[in-house]
Amino acid sequence: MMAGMETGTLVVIVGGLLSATIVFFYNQLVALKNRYQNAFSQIDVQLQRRYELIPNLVETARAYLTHENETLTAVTEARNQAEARRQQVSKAQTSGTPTARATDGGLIQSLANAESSVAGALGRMNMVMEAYPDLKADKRLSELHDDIVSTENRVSFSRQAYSDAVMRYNTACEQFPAAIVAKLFRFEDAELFEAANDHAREAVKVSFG
Amino acid sequence: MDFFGQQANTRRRSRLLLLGFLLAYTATAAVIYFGIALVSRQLGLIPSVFEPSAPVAVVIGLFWVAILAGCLFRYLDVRAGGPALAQKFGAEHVSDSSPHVEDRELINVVAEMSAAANAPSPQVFVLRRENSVNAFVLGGAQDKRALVLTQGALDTFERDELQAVIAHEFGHIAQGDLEVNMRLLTALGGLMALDEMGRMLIGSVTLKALIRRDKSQSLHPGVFAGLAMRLCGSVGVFFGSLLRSAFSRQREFLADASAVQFTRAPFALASALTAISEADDEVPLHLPQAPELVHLCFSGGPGQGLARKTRLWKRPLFARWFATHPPVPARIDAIDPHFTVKRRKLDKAARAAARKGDVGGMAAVAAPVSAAPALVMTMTAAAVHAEMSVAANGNVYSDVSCLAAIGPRNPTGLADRIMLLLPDERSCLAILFACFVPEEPIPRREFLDEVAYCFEQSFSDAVQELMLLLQEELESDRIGIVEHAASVLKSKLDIDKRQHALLTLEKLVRALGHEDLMSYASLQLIRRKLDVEFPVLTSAKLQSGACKRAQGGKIKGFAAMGEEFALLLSLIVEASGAAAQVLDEQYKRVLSCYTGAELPRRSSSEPQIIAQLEQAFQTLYVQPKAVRAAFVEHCAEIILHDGIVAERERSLLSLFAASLGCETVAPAHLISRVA
Repeated sequence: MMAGMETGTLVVIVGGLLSATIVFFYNQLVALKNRYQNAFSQIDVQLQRRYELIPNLVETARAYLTHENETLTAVTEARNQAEARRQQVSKAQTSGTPTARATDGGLIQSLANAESSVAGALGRMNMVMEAYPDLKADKRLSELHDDIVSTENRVSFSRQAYSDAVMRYNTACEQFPAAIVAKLFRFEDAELFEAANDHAREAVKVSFG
Repeated sequence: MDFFGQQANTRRRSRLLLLGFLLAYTATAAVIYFGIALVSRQLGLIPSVFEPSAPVAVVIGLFWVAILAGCLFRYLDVRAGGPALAQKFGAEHVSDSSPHVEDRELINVVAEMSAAANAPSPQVFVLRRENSVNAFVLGGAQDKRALVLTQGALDTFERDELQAVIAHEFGHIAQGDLEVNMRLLTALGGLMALDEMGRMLIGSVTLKALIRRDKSQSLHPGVFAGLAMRLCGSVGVFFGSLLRSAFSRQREFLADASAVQFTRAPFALASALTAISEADDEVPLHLPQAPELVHLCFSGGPGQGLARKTRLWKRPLFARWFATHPPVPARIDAIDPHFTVKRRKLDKAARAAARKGDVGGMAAVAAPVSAAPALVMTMTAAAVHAEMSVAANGNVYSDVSCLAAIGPRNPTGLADRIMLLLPDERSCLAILFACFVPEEPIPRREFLDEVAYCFEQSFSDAVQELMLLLQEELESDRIGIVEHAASVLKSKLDIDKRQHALLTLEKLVRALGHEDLMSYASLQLIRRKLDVEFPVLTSAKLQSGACKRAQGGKIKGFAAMGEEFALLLSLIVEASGAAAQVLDEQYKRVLSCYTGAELPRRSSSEPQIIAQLEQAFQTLYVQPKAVRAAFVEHCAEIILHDGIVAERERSLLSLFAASLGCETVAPAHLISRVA
């Protein structure tokens, strides 16, 4: 009788402890996940800002760069593609199921690729602009340029914040007790925001003047 | 950033703070009670320490009223939120739509760091008249945060350093330090209120004693009262400092670490830290509320509050207990142990590049001018032309110490007679007053009487005597003398006395209505040289300036600052002292070089001209340094135009340079002409 009581108590205690542990790790994982998703939406905000600025820049520069239509079109096209990808990703983000809403692998990769081709096209455009001294003196353009440089920085800083958040989440998912909870509730590894081909990223630096 | 860990940590710290707070107040209460009771018993007012009579209780009550009032006022401030608090300290709000390039850059940097920290951007404020290098964050809830930077910080830091400093502040936000810091601010407001009041009282009394050459200044009842207040207050300061330091020091290391995490640029943070130690400000902030704010700041200043005052606190143990910030070398060491080596390597590379540039020819010489692209872009074509002539002169923008050109800064340039006549602080103070003595006999009598009333008869006599003795020198080199006297005072008097001296001087000059252009110029210079700023007093003006700017639309470059420039130009042209017709002609000719607009020439005898000048300086002061430097440079060109540099012209140029914060930017070729 006594032994039975003791076993019962033990089971209750162990069960309680176990479920408490599971709840604790589950909550921790959810918080980390929200955090990295929030970090991703920050990238989204900055990318959107950047894609809104690019058409302005192109239109202002067009007045000077009459013979460089090709370069300008390349920038516009790269921008349009990237914007389309961005919208796709943010739609997938908002409509996913709570646990599987994690940034979908393929989509992020394609956005990162499109993003790096925008950077490449912008870099080429800047090189072309170097050859036009009047352009550097245009006040509106210089203001736009400052904005774009700063937005560029914001994009890379928010990417960095996102990477940090993803790293923390992934580490939490892989560490021992939490790994079981993660498996149990299908927490998937998050993906870093990185382009597949590295060569396009070389030209990110925007500078003149 | 471990978010949960930090939150739990914050809660624990809050509880600890509450405990410390209670202990500090209990200890202060005990010391005040027993202090007053013991003194009263010694004086025979009460039979025993534990049986206070009604008057003693009233005295104790008064102390408590002061403490609680300090606490309550600070609490109300804190509750109003960060932005309101920042405005109370005299800071100007800076937004995305600001017409100034520097401001927009600041906003951009803040937005970048908020992206890196994944935290919402706080509102950004700048303390325009604060020239020490510092930054801090205020407020608790998300939408009520304010990031405050000093103008000194904006002027000093490069973009990457600014990024690092702001990242440090975001580090505090991410760590959840704000909430605790704001509570600490409330607690300190009460604990330090008594000491603050005592300090002000003693400051004014001892300044008077100094003027009286009264060695027995401690006999003055004001000093007694002040000392008593400081004595009781010091208990509060002691516990307050201990409390503040305990909560602040470790957080600074953590915030530094977060800053590196956000920027991934340890070098930038280390070089920002080096910049604050090199700036070597006497106090971390000139604000009257500074003692309560130090723990929020990026830089704790070199002396760090109490540790600055007495030798006792310099002992390692005490210094460790009371420092709000870890020493700068320790912070740099934690960020990047090899920083010094890296920096030297960079310097070496820069020197090597400079040597190469010399061989290459003019390229290196022209570099400082092209470093101001914003300026070149915003100037009108004519101004660009003037700019070219500047570039031809080469080293105009280099930071050669050129004040010697406008007024000798080093005493060697002053006559021996003056040095002999100004041996100590008292005579230096007297000469500052002597500068403002009016010419006509009746106002002169009034002025001297006022001085006698504010201080005493013998000081007033000394002022008169000095004025008569140095009449010639005052006419020929007034600015030089003022600078010499002010720099002596700065090195010999502490900041409280300097503040009182300046306040009295300003009050006197304004009350008697003798404020003409020259006295305004001298006052401005003295204020700057004494390194005393009154942000709270000037905040009203600053705000009205900001409103005006907002209503008047965007101000960009020379073209849009026509009115301000025309005003300064009129005054400069007028200073040459030629006939009215010649002045008109000269004015029109020079003005047409800069702007096409027709602006009437102004005269220094106009009413309200001082207020307008002040307004113009407020507008100009927030322009990028390159534009301000160009203003000073153009004024110098105009003065040099006729080949004669009159004293009045020199004083005005000095004033302009000092008021625009470009004392180091002045044409080197003025030296030869003046000499």
